[in-house]
Amino acid sequence: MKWLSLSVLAVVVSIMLALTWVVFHPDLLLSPTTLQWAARLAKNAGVTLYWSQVEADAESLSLFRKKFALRFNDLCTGSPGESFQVCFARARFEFTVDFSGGIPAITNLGPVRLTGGDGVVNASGEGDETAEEREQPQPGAQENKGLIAGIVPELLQKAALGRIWIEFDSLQVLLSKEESFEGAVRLSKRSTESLAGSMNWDLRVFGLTSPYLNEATARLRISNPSGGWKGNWQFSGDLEGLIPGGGYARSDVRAQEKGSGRFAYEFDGTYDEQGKLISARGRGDIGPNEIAVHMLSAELENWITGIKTVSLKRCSFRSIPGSLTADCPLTLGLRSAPRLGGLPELALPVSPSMRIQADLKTAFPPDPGNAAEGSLNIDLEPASTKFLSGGATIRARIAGVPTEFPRDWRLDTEVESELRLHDFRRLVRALSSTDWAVPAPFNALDGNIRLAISGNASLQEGRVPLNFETQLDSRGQRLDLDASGAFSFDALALQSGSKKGLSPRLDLKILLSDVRLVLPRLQLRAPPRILPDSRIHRQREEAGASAFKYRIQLETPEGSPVRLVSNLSKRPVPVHLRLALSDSEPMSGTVRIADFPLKLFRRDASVQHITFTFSPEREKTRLDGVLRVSYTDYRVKVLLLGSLEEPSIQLTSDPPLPERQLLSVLLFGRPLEELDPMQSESVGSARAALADSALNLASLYLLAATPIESFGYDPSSGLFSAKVRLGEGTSLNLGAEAGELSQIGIRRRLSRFWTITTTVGAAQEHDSSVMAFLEWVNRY
Amino acid sequence: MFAGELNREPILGSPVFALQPAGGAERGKMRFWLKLLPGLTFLVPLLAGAASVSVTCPGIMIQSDIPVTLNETERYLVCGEAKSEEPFRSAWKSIPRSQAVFFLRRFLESRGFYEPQFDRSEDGGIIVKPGAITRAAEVIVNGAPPDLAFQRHRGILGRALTPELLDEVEQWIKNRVQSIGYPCPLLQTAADVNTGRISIAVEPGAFRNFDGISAESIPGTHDSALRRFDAFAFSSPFNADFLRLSAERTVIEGTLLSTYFDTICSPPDPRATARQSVVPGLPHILRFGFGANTEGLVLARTSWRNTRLGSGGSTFDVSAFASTKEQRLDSSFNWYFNPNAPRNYLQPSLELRHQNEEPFESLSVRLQLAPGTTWDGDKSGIRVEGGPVWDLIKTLRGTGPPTSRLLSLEARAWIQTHYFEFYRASPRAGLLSRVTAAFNDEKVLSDVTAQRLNWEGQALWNWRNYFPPLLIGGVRWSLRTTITNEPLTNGSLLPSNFRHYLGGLADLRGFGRNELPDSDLGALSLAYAGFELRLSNQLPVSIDPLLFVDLGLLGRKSFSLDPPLYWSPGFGLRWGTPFGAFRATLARGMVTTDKTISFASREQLSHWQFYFSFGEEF
Repeated sequence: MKWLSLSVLAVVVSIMLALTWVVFHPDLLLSPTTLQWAARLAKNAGVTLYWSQVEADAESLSLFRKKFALRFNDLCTGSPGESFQVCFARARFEFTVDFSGGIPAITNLGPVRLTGGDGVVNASGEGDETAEEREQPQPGAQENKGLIAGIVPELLQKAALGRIWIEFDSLQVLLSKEESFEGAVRLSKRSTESLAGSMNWDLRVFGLTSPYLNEATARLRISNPSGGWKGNWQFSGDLEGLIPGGGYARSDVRAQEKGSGRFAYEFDGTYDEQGKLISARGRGDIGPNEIAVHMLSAELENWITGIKTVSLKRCSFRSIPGSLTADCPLTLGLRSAPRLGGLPELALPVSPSMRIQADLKTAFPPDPGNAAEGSLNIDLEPASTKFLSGGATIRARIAGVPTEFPRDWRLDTEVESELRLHDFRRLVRALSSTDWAVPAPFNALDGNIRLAISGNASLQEGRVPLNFETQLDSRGQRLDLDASGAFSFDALALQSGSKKGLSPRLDLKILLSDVRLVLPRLQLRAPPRILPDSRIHRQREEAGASAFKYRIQLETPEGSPVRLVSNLSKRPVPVHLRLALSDSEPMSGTVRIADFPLKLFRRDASVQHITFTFSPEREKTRLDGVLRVSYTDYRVKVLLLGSLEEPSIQLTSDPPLPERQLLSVLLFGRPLEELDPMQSESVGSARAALADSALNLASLYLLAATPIESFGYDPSSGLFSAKVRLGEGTSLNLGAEAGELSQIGIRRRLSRFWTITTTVGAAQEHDSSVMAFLEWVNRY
Repeated sequence: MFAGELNREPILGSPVFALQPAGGAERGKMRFWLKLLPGLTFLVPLLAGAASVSVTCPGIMIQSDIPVTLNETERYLVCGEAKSEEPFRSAWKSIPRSQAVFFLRRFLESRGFYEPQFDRSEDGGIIVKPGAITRAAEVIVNGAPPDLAFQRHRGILGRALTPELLDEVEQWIKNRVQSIGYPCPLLQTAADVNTGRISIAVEPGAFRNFDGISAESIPGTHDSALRRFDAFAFSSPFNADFLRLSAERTVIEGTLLSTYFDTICSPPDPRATARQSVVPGLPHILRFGFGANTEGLVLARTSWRNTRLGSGGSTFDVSAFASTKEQRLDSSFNWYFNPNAPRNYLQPSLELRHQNEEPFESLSVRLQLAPGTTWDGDKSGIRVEGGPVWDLIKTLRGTGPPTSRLLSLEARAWIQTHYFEFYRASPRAGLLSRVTAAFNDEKVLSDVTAQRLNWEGQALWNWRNYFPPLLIGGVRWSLRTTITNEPLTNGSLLPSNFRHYLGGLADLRGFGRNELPDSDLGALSLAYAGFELRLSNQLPVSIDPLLFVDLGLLGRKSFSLDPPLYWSPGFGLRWGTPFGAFRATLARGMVTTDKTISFASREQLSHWQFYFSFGEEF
């Protein structure tokens, strides 16, 4: 027992002596050997440390406080196979250890100066090691790593930090294969008097090269006003650099930790790319589960052709996992007011304002490359100019990847928009000297025009609904129409991003609800040729077909025909329309002149109907009409048959009369037996002209509407001439000039009874003798 | 430079007619009248700087080398009617510039201007520069029958390419196809303003003969009565020209007031090719007239005719005629006694006549009974009639017996091609000839034995058969002789109308009317031939220059012609009007040297003779 006690005492004394010796010679603890031992210990914990040369100094400040200084050359941590490898050419660490508590604690750290750094930090998870190697750490490494992770903070917990200077000549941070940051970095901190004092770090990055910035410089102050490592850190500084392929960006940034990994931030930056500018000022919050941006002001300048600025004020975005909301009023600063037809009078607002609101389900953090789904509302604020006013609201349900718009997008839109033209007459005046001038007789109208896009527009169906209505009138005229339809396009082509295959198409149904128009005053003598002769082809007609397709249906409502006012009819002509116009086919449908009374052949007559049936096959275009002329003893029907170009005119009566008698009655109001010779001849000529289809509808109408004195027809030339009586003592020659008729014989009727006749051969001996007579001739 | 030539290439069995401007050496074949242009160079200074500027309305000015005038309606559509307040006018008070330009473009296109320019004047108006006229440079006709002979149609190339030109070409082709056996052609025309090419596709339809005529009935007249006017024979090839000629014959005769034929196309009728519609009119025609004949004489005429007697459509006519040189009262009855043979007739007639010509004055009565018939083939028609004629002639002045009575057997025959008759208003082709023979004997109710034989006619040629004609050549002739033993003396029993004279517009145009022979005794034989060449459709306002020479011989014996030769070269102008042709000729009467005529007489006969006529054709 005695020996046992003596042995223990001897050991304790030895330990105490050893400790005493170490206390007075602390350099024994940190020698190259012990550092090598510590490096091996760290390696076992998964932290690789090695150096080429090390020197250690120790100084005893008191009994329990010892100051150490370590100087390394080529101090490295990590290895090429690890996630990071950092080397410093020179490294100097100074720290003071307090042993008084039994457990050594670092009370002062610093100065620390690491210079000539060169490192690579691979945060991409891809290294030179194989996955298996990374997954199989050395035995005990985790425990050691945990020991180090537990000891080091504990060691530094009460340490006052001296000046720290870490300087990398080159530091490369790999976030992924494509995402790499490289530059010179300097991290510094001034010495802190006490742990409670604020901690301020300065971070400088020079010559940063990254996918987002090149030649960038960053100055960032990182501080903790509460001191120590814990508390709300604050960041402030500026960042500037060249965006690859773009311009130069600069921004002041301030951020403050709000706890739980959340930061509040403010920024004020500019971007300049060859004259295209962005300036933005905003603030927000960013945290592990939230990104919020409140744009105090932002302005994009010269980014969009025709738009000088896009200004955003109080534009807010908030993103949380699974959701992105936005509320963004913006104002477009157009370079110049868009002008309809190039006219200043028809300028649209130069600064239209709108508000964009979005509520989307999308990934967090928001990434345009990820799918988004939700609602998007755009409100175009009401605006007005001298002529126009309007606004629009778009409510859209969207689903798709923003960066791939419109490919594979689903876009269901409800649109309510309106453009209203208040003063049509002023528009007419404004356009009068332009190529967009409103033609007569529409240029005499005044009133309102409203164009609206209203309804559901679907990107899947490729359809945008349209509405159009007019309320115009003038003296003797009215033009009220309602049009509805849609502008459509090939949704698949749009979604595949093919502009050429869009196949835009307009389908419109125009209802002529109340239309009364005045036709131009036509002269009986020479109807003008307004439409080009279809037989004559011009080069411009052979140009390729337009990519724009359309199909327009033109209809009049039942009981409300278009009324056409003409100098050829005392009453407006009611016309029912049901026409289809398209880009690919000739006009089809019907034009029906409804029942209306008129004076024909000096009698009360009526148009029972005249129907023009247009067919895409031109030769099938048909004419079907019935005119009724009532007399005391019988009723005459004039049937219009055949085609528009070659109408066939047939006469019937009840009770039946021979055609020549019918013509006699129609043209001259008397039976054939009571006509004078010229009138009787005219009846014959008219029959011949009708049989040869030499009379078109206009000619027939003119003949029917005007008292005829005579009618001549030359089958050889297909020409007719008519002399109509305009009034007392005045008459008018229609159709061909008399000289154009090449009758076979030399016999010209001058008037009712007078003719010029040239006869050959009178005397028996001289048959070639010719005599010309002015004769009075009468048949009885 | 647009002297056209025809290239004809068969393609897929259908001929292709191509009317193209001549090239290379052919360019030398310029239009005839262009060759005259050097002679008109004196007009150049007058025409220089003659660009036309017309103000259509305030704000619209047309500047063009070729005057462009808008008609009233066109002007209304481009200018509007600013002053009017009427409803249907106020809507068209103001025509905006773009609309005016649209209308102007259409109106200019209808005149052949397809490349107009519209500039803005200082006051904002429109300055219209119509540009050059697009002219027809080539005509291609596809699918037409080989006999179309489109090369006949000249004067297309070089004309403004207008709808009217297309109408004209289409109408000509249609008429032409219808005149060579195809009643129902269809045409489709396209014209290219860039090349000036006109392409016409012709579907001639089925070839047809005249298979029948479906005619409207005339009350009281047999249905076949109108067939006597047909200028064709059934089963001959269809020709629409002859249908028109038939209608014209009917109207000239007065049987119908108006009639026309229309071809039956859809549906085709195997029994009838055409349908004849009629306006009969009342049957009685009363006429009073006055005028002038080619000899410059004042005329008066009156007649009364019943044009539809009986079921055969016979006619009865009474007429009186008076001029300063002749007064006549005629009455005739054309009795178409058999409606089933409508071309056969019997014609009794009575004529009272007083003639006061330069060599003689006579009073005559003529009674005649002449059965006759007509025939029309596919190219010409013939009329033959003959019968007894009784003449009573009293010579009041000049040579011949105071009174002559003659009973003759007279026969007459006419042959006339249809196109001579068809183009009577504008002669250009065909033949007309008449033969007359009258026989009598003093033993049969006649005072003298004298047979008369006459053959006269005229033939016209349209050089190269052009349409419209370019050069028309004509010849007319007359051969007459009186066979008698009576001498040509003052005491002869031969009445004046058995004697022959020359001179006047009807034959020798270098001499006065009946100026030859240089004796009042006349001649027993006569031969005349006249040749004329007329340049047609080359000068403005339908004026045609002509050259002619007339030759004539007379003989004092039957079948015998004696010197001298009377001849008269000359020239003249023809002006075609809708009422007939005015002609003016200036010819030199000339007599060949012969011992039978004295120098003094020859000098007296040789002189310039001017004629102005209306209605006269060669």
